[in-house]
Amino acid sequence: MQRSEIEKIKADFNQDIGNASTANELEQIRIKFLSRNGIVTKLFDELKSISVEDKPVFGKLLNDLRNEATEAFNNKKSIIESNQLPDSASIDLTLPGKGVKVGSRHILTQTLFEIKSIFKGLGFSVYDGPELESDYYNFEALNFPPDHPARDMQDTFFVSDKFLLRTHTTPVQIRIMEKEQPPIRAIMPGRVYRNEAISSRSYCMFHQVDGIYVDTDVSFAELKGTLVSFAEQFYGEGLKYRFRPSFFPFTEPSAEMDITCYICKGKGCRVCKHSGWLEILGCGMVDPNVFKYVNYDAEKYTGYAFGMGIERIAMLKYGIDDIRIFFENDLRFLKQF
Amino acid sequence: MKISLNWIKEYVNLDGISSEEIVDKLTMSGLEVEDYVDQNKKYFGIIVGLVKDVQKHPNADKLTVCTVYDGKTDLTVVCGAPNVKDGQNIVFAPIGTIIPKGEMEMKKVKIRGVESYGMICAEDELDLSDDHSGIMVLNDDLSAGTSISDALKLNDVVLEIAITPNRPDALSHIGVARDLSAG
Repeated sequence: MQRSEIEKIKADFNQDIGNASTANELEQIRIKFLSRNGIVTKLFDELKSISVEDKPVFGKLLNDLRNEATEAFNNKKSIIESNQLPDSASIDLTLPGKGVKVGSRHILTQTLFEIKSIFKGLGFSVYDGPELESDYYNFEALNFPPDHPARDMQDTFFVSDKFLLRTHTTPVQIRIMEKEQPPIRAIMPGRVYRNEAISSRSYCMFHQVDGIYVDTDVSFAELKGTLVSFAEQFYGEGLKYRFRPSFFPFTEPSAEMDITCYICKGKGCRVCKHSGWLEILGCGMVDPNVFKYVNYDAEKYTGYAFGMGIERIAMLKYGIDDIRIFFENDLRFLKQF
Repeated sequence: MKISLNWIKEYVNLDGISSEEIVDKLTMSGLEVEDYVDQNKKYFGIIVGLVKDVQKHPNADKLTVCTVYDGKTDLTVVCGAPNVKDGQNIVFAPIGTIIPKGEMEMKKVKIRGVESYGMICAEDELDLSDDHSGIMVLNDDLSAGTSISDALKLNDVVLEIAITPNRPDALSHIGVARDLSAG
């Protein structure tokens, strides 16, 4: 092996690589010099026949040659690849561009915004509370005694003996009343959880808005006036309504508000179960027992409270017959709103 | 909870009061009627029929062509039940009646080339049970043409009432009767 031989190979290689202009030519160079049977690789085989003294010198020369060649090859390769234009036949310049999809507010958010804006107009402020609640706030302070059958009205997810996922947004009423003194006029939207079999009519998680008004001389007539005003703003003027007696532990008396069925106009159909009425919310006058828990003087103050399911309200307004569709994120559904 | 108005009538005089009115009074007194079924309406037009003759269907292995007497005339009816025999009293739904299961209206239909003027019913079609193994066979002493409401005493109004937890007193017929008499 001669030093001049190595120089010659180096010069040949540099010339070839300088001339190469396509990926194909480059590949030929790789095969000729750097592949397993290439010229450079073969030189390493000749190292065996070199005298012990010369071996380190030539070994270094060969390593340098191979490293330089590999580097030059890689540089050239990246230059060729970056210059390479796609085959013009594979591009259809007439294709329309990809549109940017614009998101929108979820139907439940829209409905909540509408409810909020109506109640803000009536002088209510908006409050928030935790979804993980204690038994005390969710039940006891709302006048559900520990063994009362009313607890069965709400199938509960218990996290431990004391804590649970709130089954209604009503516990926020207690939290507000603990912090503030009357007059209070507030609504409390949020997620609630019930341990129910999932069907078209019920889901394990849904949304509610609760409302409360406490002051001196708050009457049931004011409750009616407020809720009728809400319903007329939300569903449109001229609807018929009724207040039907019901029961909630935290209100006395309690009522549920029905409006005329929007499908049959009160004649009776499948949606309203032939009654002509659709239930939209529950309400009542705050039970004096609840005031005891927050140290309000029940002789001095009265109040009303109400609560509604946002899904239910939206289903009635838009004629949606399956609650599950709200949570499936199907664009075909979401795009309609 | 389900409440029978026939039973309530043993306690309260409900003469001249329509079931709609009763439903409204109960609901507005705090006992919410979620649904109610007027069996006279549900089984309206469905009658006792007498099978006079059973022949094999000419174009089908599992069907028979029956002659059913409805109290006035003989009608041709195609039937698919394995247990239909002549001389039986059966439940007959003539053309124009509404079948309780699925609330479908009976129409004159051609089944494999033979015209059928009604249907011989199984228990599930009457919403009485899930049984669809064969048609319902009635007692021999019934006369053809009698309405099913009379023959099977399906002449009640059944109320489905949602009782709130504060009203355990209304978890009985006598409790509901007490509220109704006050309303």
